[in-house]
Amino acid sequence: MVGAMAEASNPFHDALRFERRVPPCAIVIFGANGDLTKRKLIPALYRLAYERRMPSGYVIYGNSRTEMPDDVYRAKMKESVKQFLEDSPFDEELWSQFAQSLYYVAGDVQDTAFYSKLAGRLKEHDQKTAGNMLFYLSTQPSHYEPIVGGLGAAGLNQGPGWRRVVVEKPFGIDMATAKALNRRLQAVFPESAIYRIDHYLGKETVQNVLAVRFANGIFEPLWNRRYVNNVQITAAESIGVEGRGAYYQESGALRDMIQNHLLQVMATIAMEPSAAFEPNAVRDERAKLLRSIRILKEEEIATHAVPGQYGPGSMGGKPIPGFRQEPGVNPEAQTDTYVAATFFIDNWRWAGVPFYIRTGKRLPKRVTDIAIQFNAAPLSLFERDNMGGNQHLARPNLLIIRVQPEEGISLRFLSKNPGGGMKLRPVSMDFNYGSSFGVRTPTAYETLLVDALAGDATLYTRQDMVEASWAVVQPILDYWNSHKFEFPNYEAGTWGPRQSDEMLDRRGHLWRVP
Amino acid sequence: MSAAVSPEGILKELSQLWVSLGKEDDAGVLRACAMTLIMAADESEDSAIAGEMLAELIHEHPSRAIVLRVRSGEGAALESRVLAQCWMPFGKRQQICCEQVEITSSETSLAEVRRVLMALLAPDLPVLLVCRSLRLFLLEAFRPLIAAAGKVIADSRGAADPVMVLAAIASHRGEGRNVQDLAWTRLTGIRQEIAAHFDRPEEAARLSSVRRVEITHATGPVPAEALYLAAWLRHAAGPQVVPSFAAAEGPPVSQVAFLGDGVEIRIPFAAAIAAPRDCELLHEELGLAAPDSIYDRVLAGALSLA
Ligand SMILES: NC(=O)c1ccc[n+]([C@@H]2O[C@H](COP(=O)([O-])OP(=O)(O)OC[C@H]3O[C@@H](n4cnc5c(N)ncnc54)[C@H](OP(=O)(O)O)[C@@H]3O)[C@@H](O)[C@H]2O)c1
Repeated sequence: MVGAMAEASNPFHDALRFERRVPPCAIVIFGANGDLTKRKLIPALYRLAYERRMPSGYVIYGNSRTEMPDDVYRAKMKESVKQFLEDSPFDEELWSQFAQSLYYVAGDVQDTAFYSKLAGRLKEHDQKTAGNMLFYLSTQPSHYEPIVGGLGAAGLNQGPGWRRVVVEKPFGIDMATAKALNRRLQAVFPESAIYRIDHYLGKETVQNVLAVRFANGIFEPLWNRRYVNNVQITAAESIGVEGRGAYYQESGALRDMIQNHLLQVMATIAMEPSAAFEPNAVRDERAKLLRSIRILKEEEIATHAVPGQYGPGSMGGKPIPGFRQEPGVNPEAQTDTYVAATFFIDNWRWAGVPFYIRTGKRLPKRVTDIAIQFNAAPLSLFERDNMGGNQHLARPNLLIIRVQPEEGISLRFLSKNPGGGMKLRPVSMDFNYGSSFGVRTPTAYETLLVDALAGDATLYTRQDMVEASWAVVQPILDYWNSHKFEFPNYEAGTWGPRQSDEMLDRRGHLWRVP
Repeated sequence: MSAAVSPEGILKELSQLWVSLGKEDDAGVLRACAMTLIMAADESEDSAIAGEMLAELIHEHPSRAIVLRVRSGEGAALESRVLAQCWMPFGKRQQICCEQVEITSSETSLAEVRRVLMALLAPDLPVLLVCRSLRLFLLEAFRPLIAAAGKVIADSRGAADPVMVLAAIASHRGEGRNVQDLAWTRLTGIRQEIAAHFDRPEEAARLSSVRRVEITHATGPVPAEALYLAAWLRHAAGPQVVPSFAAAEGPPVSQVAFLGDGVEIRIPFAAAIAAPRDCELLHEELGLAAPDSIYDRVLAGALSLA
């Protein structure tokens, strides 16, 4: 066996200087003809090869139903890499080497005979891959169970070598289906081999939240109910459903963004420090935090969670259709393309601090950030008029963690205007990830893929975390499913429905304009 | 070039530089600085070398770079000039720029250089000193500059008397200074290959029978790289392993053989591993903030071998 255990017992290992070694392995992507594979997975694997972070021996197998020889698949993926590689040049020579390890095997994942064919193909590479295998489920979720069942029946879930399975979201469409999926996955693979991917956790800035909080002594003392007034998490998209209307109308923003990504982000912001930076210790703290989020009672939902759906509007001078006018969408659809919610965390650190989360499509711009609004100074020495007019808008005392598009951290505080008199003005102190490190930051998929290959599950979600976040979201879903809303309730290109502003206004707060 | 060098003058030139850079580019430029990086070299070294190295290094380690060029002998006046190194990251529309100061001095003016440098350090950020010249590194008058840096990177490669250089490094480290030798960094790839070899359980099992390691090094005196490698192999594999050395044309270390009862494991190193570029080595060192405790033991071991 080559891997973490061998490293630990090898007297020549030098943890300080040696790069983390990724053991040789085979990567099998199900859904290899799909959107995620071409936009994210293959470009990420290519980039890892470019940075020499792929193992010494590896093969990548793509599977979907469409028949095509290896060369046709390679040519297709080459075009995708050229098109979707982020902030990185394309190297023809490296591609030729990479493509030699890229294969394609056609087959229907519902067909049980397919798995013995796959096992046969993988066996041919055992010498090179040491029998290690990573299975990546990038198909429609309805295929997860047959794939995992097929792998189990063909004995591909057990070594020689390690076996891991990466599962794409959604992990179920509600609590019951999430539990059922977990049961079926765990019937074939042990929990330690199941890597549920939440690409938000792979984003460099989200990981940096832990570094900022726990590596510096200056933030943590303020990181609690005594000093924090409220927290706002925004994940705004300017695009609509981009031809995926039929899929999206079944899912909606609450399932698509809040249940997974944004609750994980909230957990990262609010969790307690773990005793060690070690996969289960970090995940235990995240899970604990998710379990501490107060579950809304039915009578609280209308005032704590606002659904929205965009109607026609205009962006950049161009008319934009409403959600119900998008292709494949039911003209009566009750889908939430926007959600704003107020959550509270029932623990000593956060009791009483509102965490406002909002996400939506067709908002004015693409931006994801987290804003920690600190309390105002207890006694103001300065006249209100001198504080940049409206105190709300002035927004000093604000720490903003920018996740995208420009990753970084800004601190806003009040400063004196140059010149006579004591006129104050909010100013911003900015840390920009790109300029401080000067290097390209890896995409979330690069980070997460290399972690899975190295057997590091820190940034992956565990069953208990998935279920804890469903427990938060389920009552809202149930309530919304049993009510009819007056949709659309916001215009494309605006910051969401009026009710969302009212929700904050009731606590004397105001959404930031990110 | 200004004849009389005052730190205030240089700082003023730097701020004027930023103003003019800002005006040149519509998108403005991003000013990046995560450390002060001093690169000291003999004036006789081709001046393009340090500049090219910095241009490559600052992409990943943006810094206020200070190139110090020292000529041997007398001469009181310092000379300086300021410039910016800018680049456009792939796929971005805004340039990132780092500032660079070049100072030329004579050996006898090093005390004055130190005074100027102290005023030029970027506030509150780490100070790294790369010493490209062994002559400077061993110079008594250079010691105060070494003491001013948080980390000093020297290079014992090609030293006529490597042991003397190692002893000087050990003496600095003994006084609590973080002085690192690129000859040790040069071994990371080699060490990694050796470690990867013994990741295989069947090979790891043979290790207990190894009694001797033979290191093939470049012709001439046993280089620091070979001494370090021998000391590291003993440190990792145990004191029963006795090192021996053989010379052959090629890089500082080209092969290692593990020998013992019924055991003969030969690991040759490809050129890319055995002779990495200086920039790659500096990149590794600039990225390492934690103390290297293995190096401490290896340095002591190498000196005891010599
Ligand atoms: N796209 C994204 O940006 C994104 C982001 C986050 C998560 N995800 C998740 O990632 C997964 C994949 O998404 P996607 O957008 O890539 O889906 P997709 O475009 O629909 O791709 C799935 C691929 O699976 C293949 N396929 C369908 N039925 C099959 C069968 N019975 N047997 C074998 N192959 C079959 C299809 O190719 P053939 O027609 O050739 O069989 C299809 O191209 C989903 O779970 C999604 O929720 C996607």
